[in-house]
Amino acid sequence: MNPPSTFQIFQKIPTVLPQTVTILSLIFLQLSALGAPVRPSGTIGYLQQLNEEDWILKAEALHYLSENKVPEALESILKITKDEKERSWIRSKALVAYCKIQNGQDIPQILSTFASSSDQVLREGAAESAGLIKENKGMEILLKLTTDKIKSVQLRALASYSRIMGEKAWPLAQKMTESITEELIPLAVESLALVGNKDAFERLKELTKSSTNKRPLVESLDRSKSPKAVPVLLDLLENTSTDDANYAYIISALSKNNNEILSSSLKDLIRTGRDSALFAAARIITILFQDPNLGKELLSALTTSTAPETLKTVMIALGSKEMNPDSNKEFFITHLKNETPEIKVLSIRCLSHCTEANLYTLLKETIKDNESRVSIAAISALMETPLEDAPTGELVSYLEDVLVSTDNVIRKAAFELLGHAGNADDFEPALAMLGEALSGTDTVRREAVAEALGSIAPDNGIANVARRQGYVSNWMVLGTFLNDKEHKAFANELEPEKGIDFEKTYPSTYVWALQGNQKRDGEKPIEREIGWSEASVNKTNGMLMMGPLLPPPGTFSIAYAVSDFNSEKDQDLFLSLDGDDAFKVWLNGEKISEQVAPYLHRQSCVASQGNIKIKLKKGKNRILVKSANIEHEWWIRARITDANNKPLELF
Amino acid sequence: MKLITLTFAIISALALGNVNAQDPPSQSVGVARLTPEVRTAISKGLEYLSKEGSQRADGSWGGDQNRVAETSLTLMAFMLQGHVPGRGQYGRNMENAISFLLNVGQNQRGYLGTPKNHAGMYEHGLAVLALSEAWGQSKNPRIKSALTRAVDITLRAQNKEGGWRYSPEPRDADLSMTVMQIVALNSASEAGIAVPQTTIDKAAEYVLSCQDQGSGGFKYTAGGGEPNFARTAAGVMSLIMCGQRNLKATQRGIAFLKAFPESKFKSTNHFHYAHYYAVQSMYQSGDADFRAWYPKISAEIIGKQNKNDGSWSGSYGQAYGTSLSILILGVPYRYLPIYQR
Repeated sequence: MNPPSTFQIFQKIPTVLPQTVTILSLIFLQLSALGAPVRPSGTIGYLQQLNEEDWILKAEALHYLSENKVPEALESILKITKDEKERSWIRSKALVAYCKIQNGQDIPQILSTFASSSDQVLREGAAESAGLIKENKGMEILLKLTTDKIKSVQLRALASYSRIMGEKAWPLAQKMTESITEELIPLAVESLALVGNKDAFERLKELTKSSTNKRPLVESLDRSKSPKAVPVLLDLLENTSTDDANYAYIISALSKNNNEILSSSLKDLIRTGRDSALFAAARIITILFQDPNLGKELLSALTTSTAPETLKTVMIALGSKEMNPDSNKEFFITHLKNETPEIKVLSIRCLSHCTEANLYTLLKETIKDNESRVSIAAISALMETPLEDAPTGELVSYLEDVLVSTDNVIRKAAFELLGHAGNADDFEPALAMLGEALSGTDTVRREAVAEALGSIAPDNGIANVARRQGYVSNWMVLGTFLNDKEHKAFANELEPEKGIDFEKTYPSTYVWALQGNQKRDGEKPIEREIGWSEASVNKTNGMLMMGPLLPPPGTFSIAYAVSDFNSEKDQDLFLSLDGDDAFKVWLNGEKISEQVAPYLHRQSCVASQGNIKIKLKKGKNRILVKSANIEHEWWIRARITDANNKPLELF
Repeated sequence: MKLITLTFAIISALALGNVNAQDPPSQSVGVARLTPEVRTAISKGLEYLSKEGSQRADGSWGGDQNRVAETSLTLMAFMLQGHVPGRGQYGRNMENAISFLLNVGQNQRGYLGTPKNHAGMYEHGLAVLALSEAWGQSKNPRIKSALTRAVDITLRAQNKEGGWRYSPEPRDADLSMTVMQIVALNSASEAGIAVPQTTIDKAAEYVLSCQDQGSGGFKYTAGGGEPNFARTAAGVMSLIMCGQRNLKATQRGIAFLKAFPESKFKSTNHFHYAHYYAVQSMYQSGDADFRAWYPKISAEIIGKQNKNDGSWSGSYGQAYGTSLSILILGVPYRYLPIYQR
């Protein structure tokens, strides 16, 4: 069986261990509290895990216990090294773990045994372990293993030797890495990275280029922990496609290096000016390491021949908040005029991260771009811009092109921006420009315009927007009368239904009830006199919200709403009604609709009836609505249109 | 504003040679006069709170779960009548209370909630409120740094909707907890601690999202719960604190409170909590509303006082009931900045 890679081992860990580790960690905490020696969290679990049959679990425990140098593990680990029924690879790893934990100058007997074993895997373990013995006491074994009959054992020993000797290992490394087969390149690379002199790196680069299997190569470079491996890793990255699975692996290896080394190596990479180098550097900056100084290097390395893909990647790197995008503002502004729409969009996004840029000024032309995605990106960026930057009173003319755009998406975004950034000063110009949409038959557009206008309308402008859409906007309201959950009062004829007299007052009773329960102990019915009052719809979607108009709490209540209006002639039109919870409607004294929505506790209960054919007479007409509410929201809405759904302004 | 008022209160007291300020020099500074009966009730309540055995050796009041809250309320009750930490009849009680609160903060990196209290942010808010009011009166130099750290925790715990909940982290939110933090931040801001306006604006947005559109009352959260008297009182008060007194939503809330059945003065859920906010809301609403409201609630509170020892019972014990009763009765004193219109 081939030995598992580190990757395979760690793939399995998360699914196996968390619960065990958590429980054991708790036990550990309790032991700590009792005065037991402090051990890394999870130690007990990993000690037990050494006895698992599963080699992955065992290998993972060896890794953890050796990394944390847990002395209690020594005995069990030694037992594994001696277990001849155990896999050689695990025994070999156990020896390495043993020497790491022991961290001393004594050569364990088992190490000598492994070094002279006929099993190649055990000898490889000995080669790795001998380098861990302090005071170079393992040197003799190492040097012997560098002459082993098997090349992989030799190179493993060379890596350990190089780790100890550094540049002094070059003569031996030079000889041993002269002629290497492809599968052994990673081991040779590790040695050369550990030697770290100029000659070693020249050879390392050559070997790297001739290797087709990048994963073990990256592992070796990573394992060497040599700062000199960073340029090699960057070189590998530059020549690896972003779709390649090794790409993330290389970045992961790079992430283990300190910022200073990374920054200096990135600078060198950028200064080559190669497109692929800039691309790689920009990716690293975006993913791993944000340093504004590198941004300057990136900018100065760009040329007119830089490929769009690279330019995009550089922009993404420069636009992040950590890279001080304000210092690159001019660069982004320049590219607002780039011929590639994607670059324009990126420029907009980068500019939106600049704190010192007034986007309304910068995007004045871009917002009108022929490419809809550019225009929409500009509008979206303006949505995030401080409101004080918006051109007060001139927002409508600023947005003129997009507000009347033929592209629905752009138009909708523009309406939203108008509603968001506009104020009462923009209302009249907006109404003049967009008013036509309010009386149109395109419902989606009408509602979007109405919502935008509603956001910027002064208090007295709301009803006007509603009226132009055909909603009954001015009412006389009377309430409240007592209702109940069964809508008994709604079913019965109450005084106002017998004749409307706006001067008259009516006795009414109500019970204060909030919990959906009218029969709370101690709450007595309250008597009062109520009269008619004027009211206008308070939403541009035509809703007349009853709650704010009538005495609280508005639960279990009945109210009446009346609107008088003139028709120039006798005509047939259509009335649409809705309301929460129930309504009855009379037109000129004739009942034309009655709808009751099923009661839902704490939810909207909307009743509706659309397109009721009505006959208006020439002159004054009267619509009377009886509206009932049990709890929660309470509103009514009425709209009159012609046969083509075009609203009529009758009110 | 705060300092001017406090200075006025202290100078007035000194001018009359009455540092103890048991009977502040002017009982007519508010829109409603404090009757002798009310003044006596407050004084007796404060005597009860200062009695040996009421305050613990560490300077706190109340049970183990809510000591910070009860200590904060009690400290405010003393300050309401013009008593000054470190001076006069209750000076030592107040200094000890301040030390207790500061120690809680010091032991918890600025967080002021009682460690075992799962709704610790409520206590945190109350402690910020009390310490903000105390700052300027007490000579304890630790108050400012404790307040700064505590306010920083509050600011960081605001969730994306603008509200706060039980623990000092920006997760969920409810109206009650949010109101507490608004009141606290408002007071801290008055005391000179920097509080970003965006925090207040977002908090106001959250409170508004809790308003029930049907009745105008306020619900427990934006998404649910029934409106009730206590929540509406809290919601209205916090909106006023956010500078939204003239907002239609605030006015609807006030209408809700006024229209609520008269039984609200006798018993309602969370009686002290509700009336602590309600009386302030009415005070802020204007003279007419306050004149109509205050006599009813003060009569009821006085009727509930234990005539033997001067205490009041409350949902969380005597210290809670007594201190909140005093804070409700004493609104016309107007010494605490929070009551300023």
